[in-house]
Amino acid sequence: MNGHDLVSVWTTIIVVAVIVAAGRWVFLILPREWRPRGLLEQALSHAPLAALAALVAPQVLAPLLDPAPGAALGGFADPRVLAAIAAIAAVHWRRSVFAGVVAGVAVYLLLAGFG
Amino acid sequence: MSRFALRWSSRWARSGARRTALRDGMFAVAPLLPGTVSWGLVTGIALVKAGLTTGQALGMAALVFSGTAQLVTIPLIVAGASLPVVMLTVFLTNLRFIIYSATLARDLGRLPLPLRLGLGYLTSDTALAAYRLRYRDGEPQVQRVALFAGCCIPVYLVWQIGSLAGIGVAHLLPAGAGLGYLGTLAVVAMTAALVRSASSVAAAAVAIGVALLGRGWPYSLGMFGAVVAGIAAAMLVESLQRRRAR
Repeated sequence: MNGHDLVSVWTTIIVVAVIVAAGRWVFLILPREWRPRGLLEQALSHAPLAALAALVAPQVLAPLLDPAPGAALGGFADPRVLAAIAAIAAVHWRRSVFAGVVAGVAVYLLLAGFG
Repeated sequence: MSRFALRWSSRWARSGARRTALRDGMFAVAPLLPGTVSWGLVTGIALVKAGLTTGQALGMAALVFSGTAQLVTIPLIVAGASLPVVMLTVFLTNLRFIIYSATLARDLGRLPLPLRLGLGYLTSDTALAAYRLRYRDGEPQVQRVALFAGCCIPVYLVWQIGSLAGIGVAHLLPAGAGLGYLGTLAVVAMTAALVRSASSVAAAAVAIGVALLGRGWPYSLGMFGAVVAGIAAAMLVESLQRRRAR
């Protein structure tokens, strides 16, 4: 990693830290009358899920989208895909993010990490 | 110090109810702490395994108090994404904290600024979930604020311990085993937990569809389009549901 990369990594970290903190402060600082209401509030409430789903889907489905030559079941049998399915199933079965992380990580390590 | 702040700090210091409420918050959040540790651990491992140096990983863990933001940022840094793309992505995935701040403003709105900023900084999904569970209407503000602090502080400490342990452990793990993907799995679990209603299913499905279509689009446009389309789909479903209910 060269010097320029190093600087930009730190810049990125600091900028991300500021965005995260500022987001939490917005309506603790701004006048209360400015709080979002009605349609805007409703739209904002759906944004995080949409953003997170849009972000992880290509990473999770990468083995299906660009299957390696000769991959089993067109890439479906990839540890990444199966671990994500396990995580989602566990979250819905146990109603807990914790269970999802544990199940996903366990399946992934079993199939990919040290297999 | 303003008279307002002075009155607050003296009430804050004297109240015995404050300590009880603080303890109540800690008890309320305790069952959720194993999840926080595991999430922190996975994030710490993912930071190092994705290619950050130990110093950068420690800096990220110390400065960015949001697992999602950290996990979202790493692949972008590794892929050499431009700063505006990183900013937009982090902003969109962290919009929920802006919504939290709007709901918290009711309870914390009249505190002295440093206290507001401090508690705002410590806000987390986990702490807010525990706070809402234990929160009672009509309680005096001193107690509500202490309850919230009691929910926030353990999560912050346990999170930091978990991610420090993850950064430490990462060096002992084999290189190149694709352990950076553990971070993605943690985000998958968090995303799945947000899918709880017909409208959220629509938001997720449409957002994923557009994101996959727009994988090659420049400037993170695929991501942006996916969020807008996902929001639109969810609001459409909600308005259809309202019409049917009427």
